[in-house]
Amino acid sequence: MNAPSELVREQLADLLPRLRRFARAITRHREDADDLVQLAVERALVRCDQWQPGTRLDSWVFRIMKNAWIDEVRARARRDELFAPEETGEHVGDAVMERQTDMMAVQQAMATLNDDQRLVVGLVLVEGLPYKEAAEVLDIPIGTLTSRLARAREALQAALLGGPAR
Amino acid sequence: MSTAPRYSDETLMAYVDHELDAAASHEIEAAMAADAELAARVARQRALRGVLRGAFDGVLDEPVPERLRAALRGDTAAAPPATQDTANVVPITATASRRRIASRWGQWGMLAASLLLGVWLGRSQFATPPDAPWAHAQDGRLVARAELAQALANQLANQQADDARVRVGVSFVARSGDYCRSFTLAAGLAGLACKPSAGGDWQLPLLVQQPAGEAGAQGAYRQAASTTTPAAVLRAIDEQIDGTPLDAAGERDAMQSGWQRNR
Repeated sequence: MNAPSELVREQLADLLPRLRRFARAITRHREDADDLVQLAVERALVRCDQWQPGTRLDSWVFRIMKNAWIDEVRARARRDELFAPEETGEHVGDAVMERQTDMMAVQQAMATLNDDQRLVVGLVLVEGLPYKEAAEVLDIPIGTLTSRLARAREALQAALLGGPAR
Repeated sequence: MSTAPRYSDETLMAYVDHELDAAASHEIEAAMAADAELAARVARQRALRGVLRGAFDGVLDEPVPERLRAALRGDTAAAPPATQDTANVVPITATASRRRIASRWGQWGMLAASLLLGVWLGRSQFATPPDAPWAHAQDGRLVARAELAQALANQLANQQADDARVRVGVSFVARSGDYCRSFTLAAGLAGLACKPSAGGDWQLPLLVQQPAGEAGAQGAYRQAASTTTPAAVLRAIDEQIDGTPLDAAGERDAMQSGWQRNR
């Protein structure tokens, strides 16, 4: 295994804000998001020679994050059963209130989605990946991606903007 | 009579996602100009995409936590590895969980986990009433006694009084094979207790102090145990649980067996 080059480390450092954003979109608990990013970054460093320079580094890391997140799913599902509602309130003091409220409203809406739907929403709608890239990250056909995305958006429309489109 | 094609929601989604080629996009734009309902549908899709994009963009402006930069540098002192070796049984007080407890609870978690021996041996830092000695040190470990021991042995989660001074939370089988139960105590303490398979006192591998917000200015304690379990305890359960928590029937069976499993 080669040691990660400075270039890879730099590019990963530049990616950190987006990795954090993706993690916040898909995880259910804010504190889990940075844990997930750290786990993904560590794995990316270990596997850096599996990345082909010239290909999208972000897609490659998102795929690592997706797998790390799936590894954690069983643990998370149990944690969610035990989730104490008071905890969401703890974060409402910080940051810009309005933006925080928006994020919380969206996170609550996203909490109604299943894990597959959260991943497609995170990759396509939050991170802006093209369908083809997102489908590769998830190892699914584009048709599966678009139908999952459509169902997720219908659910989010109902939760956030009041009712499905006519 | 309109012969214009009806566009599916998926097509319109692809359009707002910039996934359609130029020809298809222009066709839809022309159709929108003549069809208000279509234009409204497209507007709704754009609005949703905008809301989702905007809701999380704030994260991009947040300062990146130092531990992530440290992880990139391979600096394990500043960023203890997040990876869990799931093949080994991880003791509840292992470094990884202790650090997460610290980050979530600030100083309290560390204080509780490492200095509790002093607390339980009679310091007045927490207003522990003298008539409720919940724990004592035995062979260098904390074990439950009196009110706490009785509750762990006999109390079912779905049969607890609102003003109970000890509440049991989740009961489960740990990776060690032993039964464990989470609990909260009046005085704002919470933790995990595990019954050794060989019998004997309930061990207390984890105790945390819940934030002081609900305690009075002079260290007065809540009269009743909290109904919520702190995140630090939830994480420890997460790391130790084998399978899913016991349901009511499972709890009853475990209680009847004296919280000892036949292996």
